[in-house]
Amino acid sequence: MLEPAVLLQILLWGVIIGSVYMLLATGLTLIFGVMKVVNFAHGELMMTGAFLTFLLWHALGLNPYLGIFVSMAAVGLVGVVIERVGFRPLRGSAKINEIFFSIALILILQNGLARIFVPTFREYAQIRTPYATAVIDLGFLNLRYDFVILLLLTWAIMLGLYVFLFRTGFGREVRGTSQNRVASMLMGVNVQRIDMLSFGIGSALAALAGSLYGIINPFSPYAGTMPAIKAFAVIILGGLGSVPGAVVGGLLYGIVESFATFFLGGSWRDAFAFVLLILVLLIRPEGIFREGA
Amino acid sequence: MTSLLRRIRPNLAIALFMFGLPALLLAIMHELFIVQILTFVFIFAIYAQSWNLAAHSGQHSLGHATFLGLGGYASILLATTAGLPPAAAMFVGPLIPALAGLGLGALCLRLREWYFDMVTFGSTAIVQVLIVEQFGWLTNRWDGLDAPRLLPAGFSVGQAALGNYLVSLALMVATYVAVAAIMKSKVGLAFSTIHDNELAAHASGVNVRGYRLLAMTLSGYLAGLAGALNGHTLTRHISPGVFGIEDSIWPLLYSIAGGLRTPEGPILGTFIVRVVWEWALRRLGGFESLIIIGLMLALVVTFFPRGLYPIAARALGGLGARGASGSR
Repeated sequence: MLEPAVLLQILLWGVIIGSVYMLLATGLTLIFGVMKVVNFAHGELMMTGAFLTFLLWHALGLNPYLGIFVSMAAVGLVGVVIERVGFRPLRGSAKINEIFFSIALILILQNGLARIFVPTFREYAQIRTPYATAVIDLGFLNLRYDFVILLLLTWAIMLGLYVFLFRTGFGREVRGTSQNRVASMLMGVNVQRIDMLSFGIGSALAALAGSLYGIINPFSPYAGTMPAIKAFAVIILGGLGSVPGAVVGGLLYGIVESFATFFLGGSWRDAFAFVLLILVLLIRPEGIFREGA
Repeated sequence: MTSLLRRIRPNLAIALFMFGLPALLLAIMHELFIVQILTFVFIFAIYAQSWNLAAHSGQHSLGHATFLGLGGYASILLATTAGLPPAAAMFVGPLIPALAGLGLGALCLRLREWYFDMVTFGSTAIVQVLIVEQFGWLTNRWDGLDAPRLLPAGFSVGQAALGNYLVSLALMVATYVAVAAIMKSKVGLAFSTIHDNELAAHASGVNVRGYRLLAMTLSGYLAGLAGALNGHTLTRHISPGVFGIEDSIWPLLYSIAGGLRTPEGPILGTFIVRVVWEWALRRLGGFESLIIIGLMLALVVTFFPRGLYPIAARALGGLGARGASGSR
């Protein structure tokens, strides 16, 4: 009854949107692993990235695929500053101070973006790449150029992250801090520098996720909230602090959401994350890929 | 019971003051616009109080808009479809968010800190979808519902505003006394113990699960009451927009500004933040005002983590501050 081509199309869409969730969740879980902080404003950093890429393209005519890198660097820097002036002074005080600080960041970033965005672009904007209409016809499947480039870009950056984490000294320090902060400190790791670094990387990944989102969807300054909530579901699903859990969980979540939207209807798309979260919490509250420590 | 009465005697004095001052104010001031702002402060102080009560048991919800919205919807639907007078629906309707609080609390029983916050943060999203899609036939989907007035027809605009003002004030003071009594009773001690150390509370025989659920249920009811009151008096309308992040952020902002885990804090905080908000909104745009509110929150968290009430109380000679728990 259902053609395989349709199923394949749904799968492809799931992988694309899953990449957004994967990037968000990876950034969140990396930050959590090192700093034991969940940044509730992660979705707003994501939209900052989307908006920067959009502005570079809209105002300067820069190819969005180059703009993404500028945007990643800029948002990464914003993340470093947030860690340095915000989260670091709060470290060691009650956990909820950090939670409340990230809530304050939501208000500041979201409305800062809206202040610039809404008067000029009204409600929604979308990043249009030069290849927006180009399609590869595989006979059974129409593959958008943008999708191919986005997937390659995402996986190249994920590979880069893997090499950084597992093949460099800095990466080892990040993993060490994530496993045992005090022991790493005693081994001479400058954990505060690792905090800044992880927050910067996490934010840069959010900017990539946002740009990706902005290429495939119209977006507004408020569009980051829902993907961030889904990324929370993903990292709970994958186990807080686990990068493989975030990667697998994010992709899987995107695919399942894509099929659920097709079969259950679009209105369930956003609530679905929560239903899944409830199930995981009831059945396996420690997550599927729990970190050993 | 008598010992509890003795313990909350300073709170009763404060309550008298809290009721008396705004009531007196009414005699000398007839500015409709100020009456409306203060009515808003009273209603949202109840909302902040409900958040603060859950926080007192260590459950810092980031999804309280769920209860605010459900209370509004339930009360308005009871008034329009079941024909209950709004003044009664306002108290019956919040039983729905109380149930929601019980359910969400049960779901989050094993969760703390980040996990608890992420789940409560996400909970409003599903409630919004349920309200719009699954109960769309009842709730008029995105358009929302018009709410009947709290006071029966026949009053002038000014009289209705004064009525709303007094009802909201009375309910705020009643909520204050109730929460102060809870916080100073054995139940409050259990909440506080769970907040400080769940494991130790469990080890000393405190029924952690029961008290956590109780806190969420009570909190759900009070938040729902605020939502119902708001719907019948100020907004006179409710739409799914109520389940937004902002409405979940306000109560924690009010409570933090005034002083967490004190019954006076949410009231003082709501007043202060609201005055700053009204001031900012008149001089700057809406976005800028929200940025200022965000900066305020960041600064309070960084420099006055215990809120402003302890400072105000110290300035007033420690009035009622003995009940204020020091640590978070």
